[in-house]
Amino acid sequence: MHVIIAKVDEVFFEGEAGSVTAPGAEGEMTLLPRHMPLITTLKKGIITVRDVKPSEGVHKFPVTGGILEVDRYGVTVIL
Amino acid sequence: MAGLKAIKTKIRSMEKSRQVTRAMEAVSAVKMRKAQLRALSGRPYAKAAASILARVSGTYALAHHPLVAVRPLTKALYIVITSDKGLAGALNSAVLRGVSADIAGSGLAREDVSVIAVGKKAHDFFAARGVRIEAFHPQTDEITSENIALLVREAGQQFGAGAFDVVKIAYQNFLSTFEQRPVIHTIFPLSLVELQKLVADIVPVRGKFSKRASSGNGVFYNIEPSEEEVLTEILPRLAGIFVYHALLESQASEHSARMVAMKSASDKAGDLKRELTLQFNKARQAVITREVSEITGGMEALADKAI
Repeated sequence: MHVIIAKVDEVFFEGEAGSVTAPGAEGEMTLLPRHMPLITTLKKGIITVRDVKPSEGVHKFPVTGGILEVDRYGVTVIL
Repeated sequence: MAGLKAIKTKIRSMEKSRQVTRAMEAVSAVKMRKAQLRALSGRPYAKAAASILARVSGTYALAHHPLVAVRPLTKALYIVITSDKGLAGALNSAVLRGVSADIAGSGLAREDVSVIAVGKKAHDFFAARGVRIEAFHPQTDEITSENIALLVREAGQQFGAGAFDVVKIAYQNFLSTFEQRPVIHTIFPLSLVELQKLVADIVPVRGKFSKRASSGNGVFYNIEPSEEEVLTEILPRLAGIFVYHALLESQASEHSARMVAMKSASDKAGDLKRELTLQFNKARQAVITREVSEITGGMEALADKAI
């Protein structure tokens, strides 16, 4: 799935990923491809993006808030 | 002849001025390119925010959110973005004139209008006219998300609390290197139509950030924890897009206007220098001619005596 993590003046991450773990308003959640459409606010915590092959790498982004959207194309996070 | 020396000094000072204006032109050109590059970096964010907004638009919660409330106009707040420094042609005066005209057109008295000034020129202009300055921020080369959030917070809180019925932002819109035009946008009450128009302007038709189509309406979304809380998070961010865009446009405009102004100043200095050089040469020629005729005159006189 396609993942974008962006601030108004900067793009932190853009690319394909296998899964995304984020601190959602109702608790931490891990999003896999084909997750149901969802919009949630984010709490303070760390967003973890895992590449398609787990061996390829893990990216971590500390956040203090923001909004996360899941649609059928992927995950979009605006901080 | 005294004129010769004076002309020579003028030529030299003209050459110095030309060096200065050419250096400023080069600096502005570099800064302008940087500002244009930065404008591209805000695009994925604008696109994503607009698509999330499309999901929650049309809901009951949005229509009743304090940041979109339309009230009868009694007090207005203007965020005016100008440069700190001059030497940029009609750049700032065009924005300031636009705001003055807008205030006059709204029919509000001076004491019902407040200004958040970004850039020294805006502050000086409105302070001199007795308009209340709500806040003043100097123009910076680096636009950070903290600056933007601060501006949005200042304006949003006042609007949400009902201190102002409308918040507008005025800046110089960058059309091309040679053409900028002052524009005034309404930020609060936040209008979805205006926002979508703005986003359509900034999102490129092709290239890196254009490939993700929006999934279309009619898809059912889970919204957590509630529509209200999502809106409270997202509306200030959307206003931030307006502010960010305005700051970038005005920076790109400032640098390109200064570049053009400095280019014409350099050209003019070059012309003047050429004219002065011509004048200098003529004066020099006149001096030589006079000296030659004096010498020949003296020789003639001596020759007369000898006979």
